[in-house]
Amino acid sequence: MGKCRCYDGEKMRVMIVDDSPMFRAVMRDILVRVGVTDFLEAGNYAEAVELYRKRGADIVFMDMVLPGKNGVDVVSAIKKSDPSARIVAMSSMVNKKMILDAIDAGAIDFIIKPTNEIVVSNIIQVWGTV
Amino acid sequence: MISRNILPLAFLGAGSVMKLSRNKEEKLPIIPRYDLKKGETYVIFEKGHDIGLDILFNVLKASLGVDYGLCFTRENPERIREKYDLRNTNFVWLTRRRGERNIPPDAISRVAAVVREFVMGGGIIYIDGIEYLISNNDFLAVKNLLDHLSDMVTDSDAILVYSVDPDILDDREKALLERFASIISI
Repeated sequence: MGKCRCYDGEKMRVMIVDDSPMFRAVMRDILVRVGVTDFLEAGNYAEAVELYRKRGADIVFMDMVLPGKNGVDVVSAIKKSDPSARIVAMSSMVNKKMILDAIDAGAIDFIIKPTNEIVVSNIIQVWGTV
Repeated sequence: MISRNILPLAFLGAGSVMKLSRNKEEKLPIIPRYDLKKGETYVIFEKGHDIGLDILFNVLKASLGVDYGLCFTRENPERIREKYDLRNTNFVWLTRRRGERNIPPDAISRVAAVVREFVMGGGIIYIDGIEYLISNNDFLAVKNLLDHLSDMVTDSDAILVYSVDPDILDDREKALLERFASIISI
């Protein structure tokens, strides 16, 4: 835990999976402020799984409530392609069953939306180094 | 300069005002993100309360040894309870609306009375709406309240956290709040 795989030189790569372009922009802004500049973005689950398989990421911030697909299934799909994937589940509401299912499927943590620099910075420090 | 040791009489005379739950919050398998120490006071300079509520949620749901919560808020408590799934946390609504668990913003001695009752059993206390209290009283009255609460927490196993909008404070006021509280930041 805590060691960056650093897909692009010394930079940590973070993937943001959320159907809201506005939320992705907010997350990008937060990530830049905590020192992350290498991003991947996906607006839906199929795109997320495909992008992760092709390019990989040190940490994936994934909204668990998106139209069309169960977030837990996507956590499972990414973990199947990369068992060491670090996926942080996100939701705007705390749903105990969803959190437990996501953790069971391999998510490493859960955060509440909207998130903030303190939370993101802490996750970056715990799960990788920038 | 107001001494931290001189407690406003209004705080000392306030009696118990509401029955508090001592049921534990159910833990979740999430990572403890905040290393807060018992007996300490923490301030967050933020607009709104997102960081503060995340701390309340994370400490109660992830940290071993902190099981009980008390939250004073400007927002409808039921919305917060539902969003963060804080079923057993005590919420107090800072509002002029009448209600069993409501405290009007100019009755800050009642805030002290509720905290006094709560701290004995340990837990985390979170206050948002400090700016609302300041606008309905004055800065020094609220600062004295916070100092008083901080003193109560120091002698207990509880943790006190509060959020305040930095834009409503001048430099001197901000420095006074920082004097007896640790700042939560990156």
